[in-house]
Amino acid sequence: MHGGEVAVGERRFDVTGITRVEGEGSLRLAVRDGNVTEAHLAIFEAPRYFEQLVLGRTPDDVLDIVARICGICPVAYQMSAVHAFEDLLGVVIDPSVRALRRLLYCGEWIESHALHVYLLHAPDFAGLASAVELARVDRAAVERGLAIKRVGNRLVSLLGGRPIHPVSVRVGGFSRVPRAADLAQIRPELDDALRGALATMDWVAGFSVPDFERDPLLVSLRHATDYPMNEGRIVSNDGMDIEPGAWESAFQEQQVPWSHALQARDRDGRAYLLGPASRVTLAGEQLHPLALAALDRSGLATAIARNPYWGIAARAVEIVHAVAVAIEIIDGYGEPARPMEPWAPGPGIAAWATEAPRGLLFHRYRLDERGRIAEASIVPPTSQNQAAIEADLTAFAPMVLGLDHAAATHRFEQLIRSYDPCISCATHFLDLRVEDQS
Amino acid sequence: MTTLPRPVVRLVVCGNADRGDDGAALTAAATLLPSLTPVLASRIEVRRCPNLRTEDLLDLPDGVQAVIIDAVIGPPPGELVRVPLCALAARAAFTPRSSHQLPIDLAVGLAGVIRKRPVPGTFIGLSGHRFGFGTPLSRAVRAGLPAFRAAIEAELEAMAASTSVPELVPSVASESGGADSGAAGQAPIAPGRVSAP
Repeated sequence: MHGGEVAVGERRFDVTGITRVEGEGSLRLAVRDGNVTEAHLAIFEAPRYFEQLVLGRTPDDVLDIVARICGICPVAYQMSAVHAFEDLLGVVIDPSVRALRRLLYCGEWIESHALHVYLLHAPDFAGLASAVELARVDRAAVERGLAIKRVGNRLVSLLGGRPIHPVSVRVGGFSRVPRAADLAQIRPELDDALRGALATMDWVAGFSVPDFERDPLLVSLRHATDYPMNEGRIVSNDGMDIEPGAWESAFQEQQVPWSHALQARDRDGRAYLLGPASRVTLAGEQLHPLALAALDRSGLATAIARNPYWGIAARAVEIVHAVAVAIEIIDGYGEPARPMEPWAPGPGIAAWATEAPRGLLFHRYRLDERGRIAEASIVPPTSQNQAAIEADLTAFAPMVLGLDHAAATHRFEQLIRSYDPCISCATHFLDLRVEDQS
Repeated sequence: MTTLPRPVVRLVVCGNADRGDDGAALTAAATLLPSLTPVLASRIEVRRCPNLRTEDLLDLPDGVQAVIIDAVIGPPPGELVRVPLCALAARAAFTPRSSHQLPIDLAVGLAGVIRKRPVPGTFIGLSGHRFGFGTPLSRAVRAGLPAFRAAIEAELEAMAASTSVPELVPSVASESGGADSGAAGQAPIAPGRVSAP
């Protein structure tokens, strides 16, 4: 029986093809006496075995291999891995290289956030089915989003060697660094993108979102001087404050029978939320002044922490931040004396976390006596967010179960998209089923 | 300075060579392009798009058509699909494998709305079977490659022939270079003119 049909003792929604998420999965809700008793976000995409693919490889090999995990956030995988290796091996990088890595990450944040805000999520707020329909009613907005996204692509291409799955990151630095003149060519586009980013913030702040608030456990990196990307300590809104390589001391992964992706919870079994909303809430004081001013203007700082639908505003703030920071890095860039510091392989545990566009990304490697990978663990943000998404769906469902099938489905899809899940990272398409078990 | 005829077809090659049958389009292009006549090759711009993005179609000049080639899933492995781009939205029987950011019909449709005119061209796909990292092309895809190549060549010939007297452009200006076609693990694509996305 399909959604909206009601039978004695049973109500069931079968919704297929929730679109505009990265990857394929399904959601099943079990309802008893009007209450959701189970919410299972199932990721059935086949396991991808990256943690096995890297065994026996050198750290530099790993950087190229893990970039293949995702077409949207490959830089994040490279950054978590390279910082883990450099921390273990005592490699100190040139400050200009540090700035370039931040610039590369800015490119990825700009590209990923612009994609999600404009092409995946914004149509929901206009009651439209897709970015194509949004472009028909507001072509200027979509053009603005594509222009912002293009700048991100260009930054990743310039620094990473190509726009998808970059190949330039190396332990100790880069295989090649750009000349100041190369970066200066992007500068005018970044000025345009900054205007576009500020307009984006004003645009999304005007959206009407469902009235759904909760008080989640928020987790992100926080750094003394920078908004978190490559560096910082893992902190939470309930007082956690640990080293970036100490993720396993506070969190653990667990297998759940309905998903190919491992789920993560804290050591007390609590679900927690990563990503832009967590970063803005926990490290917002480090936002670029232009981003902070835009956030203040919107009046959404508190709402971003409590209402998941305002994740779109958190992403918009971070677009402003990433573009503004990119401009500053380019303006202050001095080519390093050499692109890469020398280093020697060695054994030990390499562990680090950085902030992918979707949240904290933790890598841990054990290197053998030859400095080759003997063991690997990669914990992507979407798998960490699964439990929090399920908890939010459970809390949200009673608000929409009385709606007709199409309206309820729209609300569920919109909520799921609020987290910008990258299901491919976690192990594509969502199939939603709600069953009444009473 | 030599002059070259302006390209009239953009061949958009999607997929990744390191993901099994996802490399079908790359393999077809890499083996087809060297065999094209110089005249036909000179009318083609080759764009390598591991994941098709709307931006890859926004700059399609007036008078230039697109042939998008990719692996697909849905039909029996080795089966060929050919769909006009204008009819992609109505597709139901197959899913292009390599589109990641937006489904291919949305990427093409969005480009059409932004351009204020539909993207002219054709999608040609070969149905794949296995897409694991490091796996070779499946037997079904290898068997389907000759038909895939023939369909692509026929489409390129038809599109090139349908365009009237070619305009001549300086060869220096037309060589954009800098493509990522030479990336590690990917089959080289030549000749034709390769453009960076």
